[in-house]
Amino acid sequence: MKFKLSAIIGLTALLAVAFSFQNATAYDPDWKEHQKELFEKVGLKPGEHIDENNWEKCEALLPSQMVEWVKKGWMDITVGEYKFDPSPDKKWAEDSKKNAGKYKLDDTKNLVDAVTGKPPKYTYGELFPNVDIKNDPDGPTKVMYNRSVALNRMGNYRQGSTIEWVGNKGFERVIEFKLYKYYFWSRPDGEQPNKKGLRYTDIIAVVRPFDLAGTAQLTIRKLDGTKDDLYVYVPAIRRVKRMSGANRSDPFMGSDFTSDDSNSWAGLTNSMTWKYVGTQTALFCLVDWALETTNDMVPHSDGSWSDPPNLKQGGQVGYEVEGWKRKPWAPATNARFVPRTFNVIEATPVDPFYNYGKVYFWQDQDTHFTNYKIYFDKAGEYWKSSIYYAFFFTWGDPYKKKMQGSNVHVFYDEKTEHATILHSNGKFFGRPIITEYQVPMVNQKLFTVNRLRTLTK
Amino acid sequence: MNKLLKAVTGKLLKGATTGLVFALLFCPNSANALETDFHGRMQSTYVLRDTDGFQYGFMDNLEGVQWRNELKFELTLRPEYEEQHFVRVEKIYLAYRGAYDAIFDLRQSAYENIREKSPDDFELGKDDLETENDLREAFIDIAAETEDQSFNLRLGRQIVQWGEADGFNVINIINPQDNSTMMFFENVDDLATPLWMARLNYSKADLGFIENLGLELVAIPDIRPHLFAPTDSPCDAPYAFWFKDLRAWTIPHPMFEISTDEFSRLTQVLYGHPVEFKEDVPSSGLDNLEYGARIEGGFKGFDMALYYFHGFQDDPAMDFSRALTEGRYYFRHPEQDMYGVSFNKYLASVNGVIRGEGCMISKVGLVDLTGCNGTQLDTSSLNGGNNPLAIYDGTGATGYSLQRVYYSLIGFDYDRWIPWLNKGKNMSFSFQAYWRHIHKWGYDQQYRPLDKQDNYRLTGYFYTDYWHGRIHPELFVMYDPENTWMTMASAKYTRDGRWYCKISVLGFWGESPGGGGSEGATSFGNAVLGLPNEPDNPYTGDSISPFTTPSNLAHITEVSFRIGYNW
Repeated sequence: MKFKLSAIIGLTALLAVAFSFQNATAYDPDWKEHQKELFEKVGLKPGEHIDENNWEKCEALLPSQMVEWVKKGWMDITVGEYKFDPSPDKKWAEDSKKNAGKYKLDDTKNLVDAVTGKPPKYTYGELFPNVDIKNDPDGPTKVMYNRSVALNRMGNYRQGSTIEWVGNKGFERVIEFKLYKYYFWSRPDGEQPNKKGLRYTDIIAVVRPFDLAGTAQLTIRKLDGTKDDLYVYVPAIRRVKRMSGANRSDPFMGSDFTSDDSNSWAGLTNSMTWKYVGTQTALFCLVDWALETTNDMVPHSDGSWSDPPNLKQGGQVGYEVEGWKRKPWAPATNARFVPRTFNVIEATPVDPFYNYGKVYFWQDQDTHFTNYKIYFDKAGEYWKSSIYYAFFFTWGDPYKKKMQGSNVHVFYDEKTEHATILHSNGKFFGRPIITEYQVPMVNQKLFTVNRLRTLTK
Repeated sequence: MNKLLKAVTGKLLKGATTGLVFALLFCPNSANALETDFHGRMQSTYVLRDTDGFQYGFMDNLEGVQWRNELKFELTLRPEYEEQHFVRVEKIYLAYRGAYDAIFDLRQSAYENIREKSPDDFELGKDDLETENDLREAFIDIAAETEDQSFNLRLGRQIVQWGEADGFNVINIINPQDNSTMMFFENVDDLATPLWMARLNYSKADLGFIENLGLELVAIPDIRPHLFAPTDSPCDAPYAFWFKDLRAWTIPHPMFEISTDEFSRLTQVLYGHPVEFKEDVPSSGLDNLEYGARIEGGFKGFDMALYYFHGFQDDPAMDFSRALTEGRYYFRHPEQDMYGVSFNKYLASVNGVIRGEGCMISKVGLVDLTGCNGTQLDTSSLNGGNNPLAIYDGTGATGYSLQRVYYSLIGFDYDRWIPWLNKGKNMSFSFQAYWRHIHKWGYDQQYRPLDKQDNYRLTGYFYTDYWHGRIHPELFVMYDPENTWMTMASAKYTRDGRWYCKISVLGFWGESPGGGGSEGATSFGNAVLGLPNEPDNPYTGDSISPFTTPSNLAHITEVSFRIGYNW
């Protein structure tokens, strides 16, 4: 891991004590002052531009691999500042506090109730509100559990998405799909029947192109921490096939993206050994409008919430911008970078067949949103990096729930010099990519093998 | 009368379905939006055949057998509702396929003898091969949900595939196959003949210890058999080799023999036409309703399903009993019951999935000449005086018997990362072992010449992706212990996911029946008459496999070139 160690150690020494007992559920009334302090610390100002001519300014503020991208002129940076408190909503913060002491990890590092020793069928709020990431050996694992509930509070939803293949010469091809997801934890509508003991279920159904259209993959994530049940409906044979639940690190349809990379981490938390690397101030990447406003979901009469009609543009990458001179996969004109405090966490796969070696997560300390991931192969060589463009969305009455999400994922494989982009919100070639929460049709009955047979064709 | 009844029933069913579609679309609970998906493909496939196979000389006897240009598209309409109704239209789906095969214009002389028009239902002509204009699927899904149960009723023309097998139809006997123009290079989806049917899927979250209880019921008034290339007198259609060999086949008889070609000369004299293969398919309609059920459930990750299907055999059971009186062999489709089971289980310890299926079909029509009586004719003028001819006169058996047959298959799928083969992606492996057993059956070279009591086959299927999914190679191998191999290798390339090209090579390998690679005449009579086996007598050896009897595929290798565009 080629971190700029001196910079990390220096900053970490200052910040580690202050942030090691993190209140990750922070609702921060003093956010403006804190942001100002961070700007002073990094020596940058809003609107400042960093590129290959002054790349030294971001040397200690990004993973070293990405600093190289700036140095080579592959990407540039425009600094921005938040106009609102990016922390989660106040109610989430309050509910999280109630969970202190309620949960623990079992021998397999699976989450269980501290009293019964069984996995909880429902939770709300962060699971370990007062976790000591630095001194508790299980601290990083607990933070990852906190992350899994903090960023997945939508209950059930339906979302359009794309996977785009992008080479150094530009756009190559795209697959469009719909994601149907049903969470059992952190649901906004409270606990729902969970007889099967599931954490979530989801279906990815390919919409186009024709040769893949109709392919639908059902994942069943269980509470007991064992590997997923995975089924795929293959339209060419009109059958559902049982698949290996361990192949979540395989390239998804030949792309640079894997199932576990979804929303930065969609794997089983106990499938990795998590280790705290350090805490540091760094630049957080998000779409420009997310500095000033949130994506306010619109309610419907059936109880669902969807993106507003005036859908905002998602994070752009180079090939989407006419005349773009840098890498076609790099964050482009509407990318902004704001100083934030990150936890850097190292993940080592437990499964010997897992495709990756160590992976480093750069995670916003307040929201748990993973902004960057740095991947190494099994031989310990640097392999690829990913950037998760962030934005915020709000929904619900009487108070507004606020959560951070990603509308664009960027993966760049440095060995093959190839990238994959995922758009999951905003517009893609002018077409809207919509997310809808609490849609009635996305209910538990959708996620069965029998139902999978008639979902597409 | 039969035709009329079928036409009326068909129209009634189609009318009822169409009416229901509109009724539901415009019912009070009408949808407030309609999501539409429209996509499809255009592709052109050119197939070259090496008529004596690569093992008898690489690409030395080539002929073009197909240049099929195809358009296929699908339209899906999904109503979107403001409120979730108990009963609602879930979707409407239409799939169209049209095609033109230019090979019949390019090689007119090679295919000039194929009959131009279809003489009857399910008996094809050149026009059927040359062009296709078919609304393949048209169905409506009507869904209903309760607290923990869901129902999906699918009405219309559709495809249903059962079981766990790849490359075999064990339990999967609902939709017949169309083998008239595409046998080797197509998806199962494209080979299946869609049927008009009603299909109900019911799901319940749990029932006691059973997880994911599912039930599927099908009711099919649309009776169709497997389709084959024109079975006319020359059998010159590119994919008619099964029947071409059959026409060269000699009808066995304890004393005498006659080849079908010779017999054709006789029927030409007697009835004014060469010997004909006639389909005798039960009429469509409620009287001959096919029906079936699948019930499935899981327990601790072990998924299992039970099947039952009552219907008509899709493969023909050949009836020779009216050969003499009509000059025709009839393809019968006897009624049968299928009882089946399938399972799958993910084995975390080996990171693989084990799966299997088995079934018993109560009555399968197999060639069985036991009990056939012959009539000796003085036909020396027809065959040069070499032999008197014997024709089955229908006073004995029909030429087939109905047997109970057991099928089973077990498969194992797993992925492994093999860096020296593919650094960036896992290799996927799939292995299967298949066994067919005919109950109380004794192979007999003379009377039961096409099937042994047991048939085994092993398959291996391997695939991966290279270059970020742009190149997708596949290899499928099937081995029959009767010393025959079938291999298919292909590589598909796409740069943008829309334009694609694909090259595939399919070959049958192994010793041809009788030891030669040519299409020799066939005969059972020699054994009967105590004569020694001859090199061109393919059915006197031990090799009896689906690749060698009744057709000899061991001399076939095909190379397919395809280019297409998806949208």
